[in-house]
Amino acid sequence: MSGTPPQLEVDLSSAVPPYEQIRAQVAGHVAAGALRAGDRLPTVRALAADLGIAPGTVARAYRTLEAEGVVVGRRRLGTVVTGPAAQVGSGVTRAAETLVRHAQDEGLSEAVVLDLVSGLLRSARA
Amino acid sequence: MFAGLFVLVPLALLLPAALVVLLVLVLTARPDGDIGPATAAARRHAVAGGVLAVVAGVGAAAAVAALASSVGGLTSGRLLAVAVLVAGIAHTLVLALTELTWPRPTGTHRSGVLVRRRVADVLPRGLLRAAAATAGALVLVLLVGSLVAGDDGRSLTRTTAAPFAVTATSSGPFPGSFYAVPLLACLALLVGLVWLSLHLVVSRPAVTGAHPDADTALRTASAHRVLRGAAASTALTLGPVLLFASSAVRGIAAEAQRLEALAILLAVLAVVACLVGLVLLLLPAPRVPAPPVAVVHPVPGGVPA
Repeated sequence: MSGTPPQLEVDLSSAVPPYEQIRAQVAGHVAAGALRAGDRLPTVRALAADLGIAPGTVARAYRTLEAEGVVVGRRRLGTVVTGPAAQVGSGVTRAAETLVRHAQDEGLSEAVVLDLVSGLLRSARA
Repeated sequence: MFAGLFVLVPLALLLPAALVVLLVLVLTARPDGDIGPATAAARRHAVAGGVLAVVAGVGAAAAVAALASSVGGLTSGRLLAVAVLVAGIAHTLVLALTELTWPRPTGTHRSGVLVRRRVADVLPRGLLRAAAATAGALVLVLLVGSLVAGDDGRSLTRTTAAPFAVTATSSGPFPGSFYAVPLLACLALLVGLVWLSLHLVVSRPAVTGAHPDADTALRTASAHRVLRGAAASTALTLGPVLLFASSAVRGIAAEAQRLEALAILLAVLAVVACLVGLVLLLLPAPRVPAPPVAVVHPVPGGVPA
């Protein structure tokens, strides 16, 4: 990991529970390559202190990530990234990067882009 | 009265130095508007803690000096010996409390960094080396002093064999075990508090909305304050200790040139230690950088409000 470290944001007013927000963003950083296999995540207490939330919330997010195979808890090292839950091909990554670039150019919010992708995924399944 | 040098010399040098540091901090501070309100508030908390720590340090040294003058006798000398280290302890204690009372995240939007922070990441290397060197030198001087001191642990005795008699010359006060024990106990306490404070610096909450570089700079500045105070108080204790050693050696030197040379060397080292202590005090903490224009790492999979 080099450069600016990946950040994590939690919106306490969101309908999505904070633990799910943490889980989704960590998984997203791993899928995008900002967090790589071997990177150590902050301790539960440190991340909870940074976010001003209960340690149990962070612990639940880490447990879920561990169940998905994204991270692994090691006694001496703490929580370590193992890799993305699913291997994402370079074509998909490039397409996603292009989508993000276009969305930023058009000033679309993150929510709108996510709704768009979710809608397209549902249409493709139908 | 000579023992009063333990406090008077460092204090006479410390007070103007503290004012200079404060003045430099005020004159060179980056305007709050450049770094954002949350970062500015965190910086104000840190600077206020730093100023309070200096006040607490000076107050603690003055209180110990006052106590020493009221108790009198040999205890007075011991109290004066540890006065500057007690100042360092009080200083570090206030800085630790500053970390414990660090502003907590507020509002509905919170942010953090997905990287494990380590003490090594925020340590100012130069100050760490200075703190280790002054502490090591103080321990060495006290251990050697304890080994060569007389039975009372506070004087130096030289026995010379003349043709018809054996004469013994004693000189003190000398930093033997009598002074070394409380000094080493205070130094151990100071080192423990520094270790604790540095861990608190690393584990305190991040400043919400601050760029990671600004947060790291704030932590480095806090670590700088902790190490600066500890290293300076250790150096300003080492100086008078060496001065007493020099004086005692000179007292028994008579016409022995080697002992005279040793006394001069110790006196020079004492001055150097005091100067190092003052230079350390004048080292300003690193500033908080202005946030970069570029947007920081995007948050994938962010959740809509």
